[in-house]
This record gives sequence, structure tokens and C-alpha cells, in this order.
Amino acid sequence: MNNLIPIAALLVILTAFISLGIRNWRVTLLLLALQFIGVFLLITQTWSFQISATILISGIIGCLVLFMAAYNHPLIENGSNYRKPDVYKSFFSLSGNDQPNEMSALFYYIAGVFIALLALSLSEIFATKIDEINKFTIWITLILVSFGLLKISLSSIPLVIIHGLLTIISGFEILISFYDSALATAGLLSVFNLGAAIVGAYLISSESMEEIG
Amino acid sequence: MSSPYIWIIFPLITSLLLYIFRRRDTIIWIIAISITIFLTWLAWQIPLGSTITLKLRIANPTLIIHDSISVLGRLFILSDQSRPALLIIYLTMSVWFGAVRFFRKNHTDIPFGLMTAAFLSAALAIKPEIHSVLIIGFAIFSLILIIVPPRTSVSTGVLRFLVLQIIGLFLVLFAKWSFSFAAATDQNAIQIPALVGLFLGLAMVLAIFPFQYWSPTLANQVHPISYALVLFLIPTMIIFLQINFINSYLLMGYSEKLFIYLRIVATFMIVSGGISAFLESNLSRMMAYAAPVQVGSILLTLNFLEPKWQPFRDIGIYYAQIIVWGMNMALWAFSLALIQKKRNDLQLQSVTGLLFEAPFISSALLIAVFSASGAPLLANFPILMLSWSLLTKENFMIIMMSWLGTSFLFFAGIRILRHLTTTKDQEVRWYSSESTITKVYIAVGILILFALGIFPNYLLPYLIHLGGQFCGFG
Repeated sequence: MNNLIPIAALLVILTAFISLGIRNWRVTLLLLALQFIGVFLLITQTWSFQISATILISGIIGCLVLFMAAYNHPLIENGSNYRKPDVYKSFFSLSGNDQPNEMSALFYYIAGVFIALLALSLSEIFATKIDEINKFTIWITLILVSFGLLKISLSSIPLVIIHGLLTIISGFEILISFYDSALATAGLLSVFNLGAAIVGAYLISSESMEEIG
Repeated sequence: MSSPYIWIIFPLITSLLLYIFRRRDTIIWIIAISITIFLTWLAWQIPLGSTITLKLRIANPTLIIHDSISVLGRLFILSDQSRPALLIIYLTMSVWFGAVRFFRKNHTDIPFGLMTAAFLSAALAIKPEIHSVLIIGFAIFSLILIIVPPRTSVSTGVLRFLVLQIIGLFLVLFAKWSFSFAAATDQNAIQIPALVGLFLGLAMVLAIFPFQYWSPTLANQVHPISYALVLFLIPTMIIFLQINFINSYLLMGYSEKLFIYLRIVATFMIVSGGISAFLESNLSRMMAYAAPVQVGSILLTLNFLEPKWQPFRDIGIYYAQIIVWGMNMALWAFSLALIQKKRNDLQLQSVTGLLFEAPFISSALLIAVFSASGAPLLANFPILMLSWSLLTKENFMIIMMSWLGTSFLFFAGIRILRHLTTTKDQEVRWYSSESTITKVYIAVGILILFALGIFPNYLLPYLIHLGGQFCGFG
């Protein structure tokens, strides 16, 4: 498994980076699923294959839950009939940026490059403090957390927010895997991933959903 | 039988069953409120881990409620020490269920409320305590399902709440793992980033500057009753977990610095919260800004965990303060929900002349605010006096600043009073537009706050004893 680590790291960084500027929700969720595969490969460094698989499975199920919620969104079903298109339109549209105050993909990518460089310098500092964790792992963690924060801080769309949160959680999961390899930790983290995705799905569809109670 | 089955598994399974039958409003309400009242009573009365003799007429059988179960290699322990915290969780849910029925909120509120209580109990029980942070995350997820009812748009306040809580919890988790890792591997250098992570995480979760903005934004955008639940339960649980953390920190090696930081943070919360509440013109946001004043006062009383105070019984003052804060919050949120129903707005201007039209609701609001500010004859007064008189010897400046912060809250109450009593009519006509049940609810709340303030010697020592019990000094 160890020779897969560079590929896994590249996969995680690339998927997180590309998804910063992508506006198509299907592609974003696909990238998130790929990111979970990368995270899974990274945490197999310290956790056994079976335990790491719980994180992967919960992540993929979470992506599917979000996919179902977004797929059933009225904007896709009814086009322009959706009552508040101003919030969702740009995210669900393939046509690009039609929001005057929304950041362009170029901004996200340039900011992403700067953040990656900043994370690289920070990882040097952290690596001197923690002997057991290598600099590379800390860098990936910092990149995921900061990319997630970048996504969250500049959006008010539930799907983007949950995507950002899951990215941040993935970053922490990589770090936590070095500290604690207990089965309960893996179980709780995978349930947490799934819970975040379910809440995200609820927030995406809450306005349009029928009275559930 | 084990205690985690009673306070975690049973309510969790019941909440799932109640969700299935959620359309049967009255039945699920009766079941849920009966269960929470019963579990509150059990937490109050039944000793855990020791033999209980049932005094029946025909025989005296004995019963032992064991205090732990093991799941996936982790222990869930609800011992006698946990009973005061369980009492608060289930008492809060009982009161909240009562209010939910009153306002006929969403059908799913009751199942998710019970689920939240089960998760919070699990967070309290799990050992090692590091995992409790993740379980609080589950409780936050179920609270999100309560504050965002179906067919309503997701507000920015909810999203900010979700984001800051989750990031905050993960920072706390990272910090706690780092502390235990540092202790195990003797790498002290990691303690500094861990401390930074801990403070940032707690600031996000407890809405401390500069991350305080989620709380007033959320206050503006969700129902006051749901908001009060979020505002009370999450900080209370974090405080309980911090007490455990401080206790273990003290075991690792006592540091005076921890308590100095605690005092500074607490004072800052009290002063900033008080000033913000005074300047605020929205009643719901005012309640949001008053919360840091209360949480700050509680954190200030955590100073009694310092070894030099431990021989004294004052260690449990924080618990009395949490109980009183919960009562204030319940009355405050209840009155705000009624005002919102009546005037459809919670701006200060919208309550102009309300005292003449709805004297009970107006009195409830005023008494809740004044009680929170520590006004004499009300519930918070004797507790604040006790903790301030003890801490004055420690640091007079901090107590002066705390007094200043709570005074701002008092003047916020005066501002509300001014609007409530202002009317454009030449001739004032008094009448009461509230229903009888509303009057009863409010009268009970007001009487409790006055009773605690006027006769503190009856209940206060018991509450302080319960607080001591949670810290292991019962």
C-alpha cells in the first residue's frame, strides 16, 4: 500500500484543488468521492485496510446522499420555476458565472495556489513539533482544511458548504489517524461523515421538501 | 441493567420509534414528556453502581444499576458522578417539550429533541473523553434538524452555526488528542499549537469573540424556543466536558496559568456580552448577547476547581448558575415566542405599550432579563454575590469588570421596560390578552425565579452539592 501514497496524495490535492472552481454539482460530487478514495489510501498508512474502508464507504454513501438531494432539487426538475433562483442558479447551472458578486473560478485557483504554498511553509513548522507525523501528511491536512475553509467562507449555498465541511473533516481524519487507531474512532468518524452528508442533504432540500412530519 | 441503557439506548430507540409515528402529535408528546420526566426523576433519585433496596410491602428486594457498558472497545460510563449532568439534560428536554406543545411547532421536533438528549448523554458517558467531541457533533446535527423545519429556506445563521460548530469541535478534538499524545510521548512542543487549537475551537463553539457572530444571526432567523435550546444545551455540555478536562489537566500537573486564562476569557465574555446586549435593538439578538454574560459567569465560577479552593464546598457554584441560567432562558425564550406570535416582530419598537395589553408576557420578559443581570430578589443574585464575594479576594479588578458587564445587561432591561411602558394613547387601558394556560406557565416561571432569589438557603446548598458531585467531591 505504501507505494500508492504519492498517488493518493496527488489525488487528494488535485480533487480538492479542482473542485474549488468547479460550478457543476455533479462534477463536484464526483471529485468529492475521488477525494474520499485518496483519503482512504492515505489513512491506510496507519490504520488497517478494513478500518480505513469504513471511512471510504461512509464517504461514498455521503456523496450518494448529497447526489440524491441535489438531483431531486426543483431547479433541475422544473427549470426556472424554482422560487428563489438567485441562490442556486449559478451553482446548478452549467453556463458559468451569472452572479455579479460571486467569485470567479480564476480567483479560487489563484487563492488555492497561494494557500497551498502557505500550507507548505506551515507544515515545516508543525513537523518540527511532532516527530511521528511526516511533513507531507501535515501539508495534505493543512491543504484540505484550508481549501475547505476557502469554499465555506465565500459561499452561502448548502451543497458548497457541506462539500467544504467534508473536505475539512477529511483533512482532520488524516491527522487523527496518526494519533488514534482504535476501531471506535474510525466508527465514530465514519458516522460523522455520514451525519454531515445527511444534514447537508436535508439543508439542500428543506425548502422544497414536502412536510415530512 | 446498566445506566447507559437507561439514559442513552432507551431514549435513542424511542426517538426513532417516535419519528415513525410523528404525525400522532398528542400521543408522541405524552410519551416523550413522560419519558423525559421519568429519566429526570431517575437521575435525581437513583444511585448508580450501588445496591438499591426497594421498600415494598411484601418484601424488600434489592436492585443494582450498573454504571457501564462496552461498545467497540470503548466504555460508556454513567456513574453517580454523571447524575447532575443527566438531570440538567433531561430536565431541559422536559421543559422544552412543554414549550414545543404550546407553540405547536414541527412534528419532528420531539423525536429529534429526544435524540439530542440521548447523544448528549452518550457524549458525557464515553471514555476516553476525546470521543465525546464527535458525539456532541451528532447532537448538533439533530439540533440542525430541529431549527430548520421543512419548507423553510436555509438561513445564513444556520449555515454559520453548522460550520463554526463542526470546525470548532474538530479543533477541540485535535487539541485534546495532541495533549494526550504529548503526555504519552513526552513531546511538550506540541502543547502550544494544541492550546491555540483548543482556545480557537472553544471560541467557535461557545460564540466567543471573534467567532460570536453566528449566535445573534441565528437568533434572528430561527424560532426563539428552538434557539434557546441550542444556546443552552451546547455551551452547558461543553462546560461539563471542560470540567472533566480541567480535572484531568490538574492531574497531569497543576498550572496556575490555566485559571488566569479562564478568568480573562470569562471577564471578556461578560463585558462584551453585556455591552452588546445593551446596544442591541432586537429582543432575540439581545438574548443571544446575554448568553456570553451567563456563560462567562459560569466560567468564572470554574475557578473554584483550582486546588486551593477544593477543600471548600463552593466548587459546585457553577451548577447552581447553570440551573438558574436555564430557568432564565426558558422564561425569556417563552416570552419572546409569545411576543413574536402577537406582534410578528421582535424589534424593541414592536413591544411599545405591550405591558398594558399583555402584562404577563411583559413581566416574564422583564424578570428574565433582570434575573440574568443579577438584580436583587431574583434567582441569579445570591449566586453571583456568593461567587463574587469569594473571588474578590483573588482579583478585585475581574469582579469589578464582571459587575460592569452584568450592569449593562440590567440597563438593557431598563431599555425594554421603557418601551413596554410607553404608549401613545392619552388614556391607558389595562387588560390581559393572554390565555389562562399562558398565565399559568409564566406565573410558575416567575415564582420560581423569585423563590430562588428570596429563599436561596433552601435550594442553593443542594445545587452546589450536586455541582460538587459532578466534580467528584459529592
